[in-house]
Amino acid sequence: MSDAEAGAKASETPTLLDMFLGWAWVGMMGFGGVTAWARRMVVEDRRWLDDREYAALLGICQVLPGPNTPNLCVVLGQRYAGFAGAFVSVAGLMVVPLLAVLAIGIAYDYLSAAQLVRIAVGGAASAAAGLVFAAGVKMARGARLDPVQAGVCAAVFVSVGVFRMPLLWAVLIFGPASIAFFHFRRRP
Amino acid sequence: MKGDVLLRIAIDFSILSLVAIGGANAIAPEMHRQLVDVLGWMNDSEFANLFALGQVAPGPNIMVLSLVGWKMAGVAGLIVATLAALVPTCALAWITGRFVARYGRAAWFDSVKAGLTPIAIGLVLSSSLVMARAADHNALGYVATAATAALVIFTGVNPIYALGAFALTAALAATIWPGV
Repeated sequence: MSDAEAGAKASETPTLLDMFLGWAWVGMMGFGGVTAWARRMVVEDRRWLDDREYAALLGICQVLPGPNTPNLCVVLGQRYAGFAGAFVSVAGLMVVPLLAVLAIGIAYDYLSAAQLVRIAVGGAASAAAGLVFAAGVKMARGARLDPVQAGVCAAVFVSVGVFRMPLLWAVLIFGPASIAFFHFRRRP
Repeated sequence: MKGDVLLRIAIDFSILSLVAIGGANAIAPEMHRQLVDVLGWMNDSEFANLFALGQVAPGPNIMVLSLVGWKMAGVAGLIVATLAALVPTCALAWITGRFVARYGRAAWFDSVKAGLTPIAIGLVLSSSLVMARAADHNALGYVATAATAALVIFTGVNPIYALGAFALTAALAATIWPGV
């Protein structure tokens, strides 16, 4: 193997330290969610994946339950360095946010004795509700739901949002039914 | 007592993150049901405020569970809550990653995606409704919710500014018109 080939190979497979630092940067930047920063780090800055590979991988992680970005850390870290890769990626993503949450929690504990601070955070909470709504609308716009999917979406909204059905029931009832429907419709 | 709280956190948050289809934005209804209605650990406003702090904090929004853990049981709560939120779903991601690496994306994968996408969207929209009900107590609250939604849907502005602006507005309004 020539030196040039070795160099190209090295830049394709990130080391454990690369993974830790890359994801730590994402965790630090991601105020208000990390999804956009994760794409920037993986595709634009470090070029571990191109746009298509990234979209395919993110698609898998969005189908998986739980937080999307830690799932992405696991799948990508596993691909490069097995368990160690997955572990350092998740650890890198979480280390700064965990310290920040601790600091925020301690500060809020002291400051929330003042009613004005509680009111201010309450204002941010109202705005956060709008932020979550917007996230839902953006997902719906990107997914281009067909009428049946829109119906499933509405049924989930009414059951969980309005009538407060427990999430576990909702997922167990609507999940298999919805997956089965689309599976059998695809291959008549 | 503290051991009971830690055990509850470990069990509830593991299940919660495993059914969080749509990620952290999907879990507000179940968090509210558990923390406010079933366990009675906090009231509407405390819940809404913690959720907002989770959105403001850097990192994945699932950190809101870490914050709840910290509030209920200190550093031990923070650690247990974070592990409960991450370990089960990361294990599932591990297995899926191995499967996809070995067999490629199976045909059923597209069916799962088509079936789960509308559920994820329905859950995220449910989250916003539950959040708004817990957080909005007056006209300013409704305006903050609607304006932030419009801002994020129609512009590329970072929503962190909207959260900051409405925090300030709420504090100012309460200072100028106490008791409103």
